[in-house]
Amino acid sequence: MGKNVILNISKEFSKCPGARFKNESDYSGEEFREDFLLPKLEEAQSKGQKLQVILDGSAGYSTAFIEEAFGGLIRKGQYSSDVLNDLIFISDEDPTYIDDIKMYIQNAWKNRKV
Amino acid sequence: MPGKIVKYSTIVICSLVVGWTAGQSIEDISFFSISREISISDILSIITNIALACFVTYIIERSITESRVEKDIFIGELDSVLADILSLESSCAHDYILSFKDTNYKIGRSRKSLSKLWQLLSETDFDFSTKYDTEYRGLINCIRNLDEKLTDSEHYANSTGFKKVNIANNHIYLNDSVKPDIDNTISDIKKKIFRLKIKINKK
Repeated sequence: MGKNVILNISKEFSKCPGARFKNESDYSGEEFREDFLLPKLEEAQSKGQKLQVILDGSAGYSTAFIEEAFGGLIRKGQYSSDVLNDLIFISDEDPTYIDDIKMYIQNAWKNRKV
Repeated sequence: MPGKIVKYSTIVICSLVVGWTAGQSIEDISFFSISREISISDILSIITNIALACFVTYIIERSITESRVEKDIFIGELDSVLADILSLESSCAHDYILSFKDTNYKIGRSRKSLSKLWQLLSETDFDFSTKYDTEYRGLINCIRNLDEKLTDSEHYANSTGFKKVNIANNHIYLNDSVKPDIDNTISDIKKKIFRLKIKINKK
């Protein structure tokens, strides 16, 4: 496998990620998805690479942030749960965040409105 | 090391003095006889006793101390999780407006502490961490529930049809209907932490 596109949340986005929506707090999950996650994911896919998301280094992620950022990929109709095949998560500080992200993506896919 | 030698020498000398003094106080010791011969089995027996005494003193005592220190480290880590949860409990009980950043940071820190604790436990006692993995996952789930209740307005909007927490301007606005629910979740977390502490202490 070749090189991956890397997205380090604490370095590129914020060390203190916020709530779900832009109107709720700074550095929201919605802002992260639209301005960072989607462009990087598209870049990785266009290069035939995977997107490596580094979760370490932040003060913590609210469930709302994670759900909106990653579950939102599915809810907005841009991706299916197969997007997990294009994503690699790194979280040495708290690996349970990775389980949360996978769960939110799968739940969003299960509960999608068809 | 020299301190230890002085200590043990003092104990031996004191024991001899006490033994000699006790012997003096017994007037009739005619029923005791002292043989000038020592059999090989007696020598072996003395050597075995000394070896056993050393084993008990150094090996067993050392392992007991090490195990106690390990347990204290693990329990200390759980205490730091508990401290964050208690601080959240106090904020929720007294205030209706919480700082989003502060709340998020405390929940994130408790999750990280718990994760670090479990990694350490897996390294030092894999069997224990495997046996109580369900308890660990249960505690993480509980903290995640608290996180949802405190920081996710959509969670309630989806499950109950109306919002119980509002988030705006980097603040969480609580209302009376969500407080009992938050209290119950925090009680649940505390109960799970206490149970885990007891299990670690018994290990």
